[in-house]
Amino acid sequence: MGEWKRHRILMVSDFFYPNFGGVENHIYYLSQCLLKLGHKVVVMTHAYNNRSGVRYMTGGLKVYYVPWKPFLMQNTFPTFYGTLPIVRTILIREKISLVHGHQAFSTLCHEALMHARTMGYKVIFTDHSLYGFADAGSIHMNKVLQFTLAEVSQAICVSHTSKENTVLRSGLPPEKVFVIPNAVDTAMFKPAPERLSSHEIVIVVISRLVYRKGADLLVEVIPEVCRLYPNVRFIVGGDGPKRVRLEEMREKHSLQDRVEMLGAVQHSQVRSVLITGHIFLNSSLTEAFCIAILEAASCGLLTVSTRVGGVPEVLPDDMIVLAKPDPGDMVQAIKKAISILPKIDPQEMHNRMKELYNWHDVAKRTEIVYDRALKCSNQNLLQRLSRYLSCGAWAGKLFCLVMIIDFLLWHLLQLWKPAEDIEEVPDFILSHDQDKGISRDNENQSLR
Amino acid sequence: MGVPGRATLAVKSYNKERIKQNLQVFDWELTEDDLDKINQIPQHKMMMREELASAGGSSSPYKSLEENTQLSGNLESEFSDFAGGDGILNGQTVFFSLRILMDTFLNDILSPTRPRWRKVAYGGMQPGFDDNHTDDSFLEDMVMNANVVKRDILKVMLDSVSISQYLCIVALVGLVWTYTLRSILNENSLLLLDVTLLGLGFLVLLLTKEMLSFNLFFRYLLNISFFISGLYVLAPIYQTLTTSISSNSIWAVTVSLLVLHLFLHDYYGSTVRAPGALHNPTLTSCISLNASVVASVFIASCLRSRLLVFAIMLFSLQVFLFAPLVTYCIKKYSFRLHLWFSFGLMIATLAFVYTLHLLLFVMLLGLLIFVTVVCPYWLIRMQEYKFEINGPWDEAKLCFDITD
Repeated sequence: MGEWKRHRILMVSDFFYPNFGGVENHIYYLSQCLLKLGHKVVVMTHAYNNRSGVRYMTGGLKVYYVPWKPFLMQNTFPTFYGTLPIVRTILIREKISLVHGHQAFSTLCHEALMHARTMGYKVIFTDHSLYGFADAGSIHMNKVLQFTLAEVSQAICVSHTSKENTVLRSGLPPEKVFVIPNAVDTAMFKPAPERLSSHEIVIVVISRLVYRKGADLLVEVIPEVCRLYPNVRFIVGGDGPKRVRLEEMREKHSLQDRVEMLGAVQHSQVRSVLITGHIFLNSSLTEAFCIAILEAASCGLLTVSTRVGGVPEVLPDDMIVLAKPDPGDMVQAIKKAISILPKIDPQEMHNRMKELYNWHDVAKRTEIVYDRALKCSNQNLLQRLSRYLSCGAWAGKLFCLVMIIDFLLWHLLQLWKPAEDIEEVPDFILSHDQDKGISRDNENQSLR
Repeated sequence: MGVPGRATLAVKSYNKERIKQNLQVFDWELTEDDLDKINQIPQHKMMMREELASAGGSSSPYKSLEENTQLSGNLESEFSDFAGGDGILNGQTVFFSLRILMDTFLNDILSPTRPRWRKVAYGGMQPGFDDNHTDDSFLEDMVMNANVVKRDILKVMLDSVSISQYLCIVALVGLVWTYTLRSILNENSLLLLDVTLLGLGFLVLLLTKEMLSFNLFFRYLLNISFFISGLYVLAPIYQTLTTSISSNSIWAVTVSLLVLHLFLHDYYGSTVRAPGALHNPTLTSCISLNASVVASVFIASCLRSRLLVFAIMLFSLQVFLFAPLVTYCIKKYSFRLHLWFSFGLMIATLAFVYTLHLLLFVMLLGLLIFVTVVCPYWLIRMQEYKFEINGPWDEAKLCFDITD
């Protein structure tokens, strides 16, 4: 692998703590593990309520909450050039060598990657979601993604299905796209200390109750399963617009005592809900990579899931029962899961998950991508413009215009506020016995 | 490395294959040992004879091998005697045979050194493969143009006759308006026209819908008499509606309203339904109908006699409200009759317009040709550019209706 090089990475995304979700988790754990590998990691996100400015998190992870208010679904308002000064300042202050953007929805990520490319930084992008090709929203997003990915040094996807999707949407050569899945903090998701009784089978559902997560499938599946098995009980965690439908279903079939609706579940409470069940049910209609399944499997639950997107890649066949996204097939899958349930040992499942998923492994694989990105050759503005021009008849010219303006603004900014005037931040080294961001359990794993 | 032979029509649908071909980069080479191993198993060659013949078809996936010449070149000499001794196999088949043999044996040759790559996300980095490894199975589940309907040009042209027919009806209405404004048609002839049209319309409905019940007929009669008397009472109001507006602006507004009407009209069915129809009219067809009614009112308001206003309003409303229903019934009753009726109507309209103004005639003729011939051809041509991608990344569709 040659000599080891310390990277200085800026993670950019609109989605970060205090928000909770797959992307937020991914950035946090990846950053922690990269820090542990000796790299420097800085996170940039937008301000959350009054959380604005610079904060430090576990392990000396520095977070810039840029005072830029979100306007829709935690996204900042797209201004194209509004973020250029602050992105430039952060890049220079922190002596960044690589910029790593996350999630195609995030406008802040797209803008920061654009500015970083203009300034000649190497850029990496991680795509966490899947898109279709038919509706107007997807077409727009695909164009935006094409723009961002036009000259990204390397791209990362969370599953092979996601990689196929990204390659088709952006026209990147497939060898530039890496597949590095999410992982799970197995130390946080341990199974229940003693095995649950097998008289009653508890099926757990934890998801936002929205259309995309298949809440309508649950409405069909739950009464049927309750009818077939008198000893099955459901626990539904999560909130959303479809909650009313689930409650209606509960009233209609008088299942109040067998279907428990918990409402929104804090991420810290997820484990305590999971370990009360035997089977985890995921009914998503689309999913790039389902972290919820990992968390459930890590808690020793057998998973029943719809066969959509990247879900079939997530777990070995004996740890998951897959079904078509249709109520009849899902009931069959639950039947099958109940029949093989006696053979499942939660502790053994947990131990296997430790082998299969590990954030340190993810960080090491990401490190390889960083090394590759730094080896990419630098291109001047003209070469880069020709790459943009090939993005489409109209879009190509528009992209070029955007890039040229960005380039001019950058030079203007350099005249107005030269890089020498920006104070560089001294690195602060955290002594190693202090950082316990990731539990010791995982550390042992990484030595494997 | 384009594939010649696959020209215009197929470009889009072969895209997937092209993407995949670009990915099929063989980064290994056969050693002498491998060649020996292949040569040592002659009986497999004989077994595959039938497969080889079938693989010779133009749709064979093995065609991409032709691009792989340096690889096959190595092997070609090894097999030349085998091919030469057998009259059935030609040079091209040898190519395919090589490919099949290679596919079969290379896995065996490679398996001891390299575990197979699997399309899974678990278990960390797969030994021997980088994270950016792109397998043959890449984009395997992609489906192209799965939902695209094949269209037949004749069918599309016949379907477009409905549009031409309605265009002619509207043109005829315009003619009647013009003649009335020029005082060529007087009250009596207009009223006669109204009654004739009403009678003919009823006749057609009765003949095609087979609903000769006396009760229904009575109800229709009652409704129509209400309608007519209401219109008669309102006629003075229509008459004075636009006295302060110049006739040029009125014509301009009328023409734009008619264009809007034609643009939004529901050509498939009719806005006014026969009793018992299931579907409610859509918003656009309602807007279209209202536009035509407003246009009629504007025209009627230019006239100076009360009876004339009543007659022209009755005529316009009859046509705009009930002509689609009548033509729809004819079309449902017999498509052939619908065609004859439409062509007759077109010729009659063209003849009338010709007597009025030559330029208008040319414009109408051009429009009819555009609608019946050019548009269908255009639609068929555009089908080739359809490029729809489906795959495992699509959001799954629920197979049941959600009742909120």
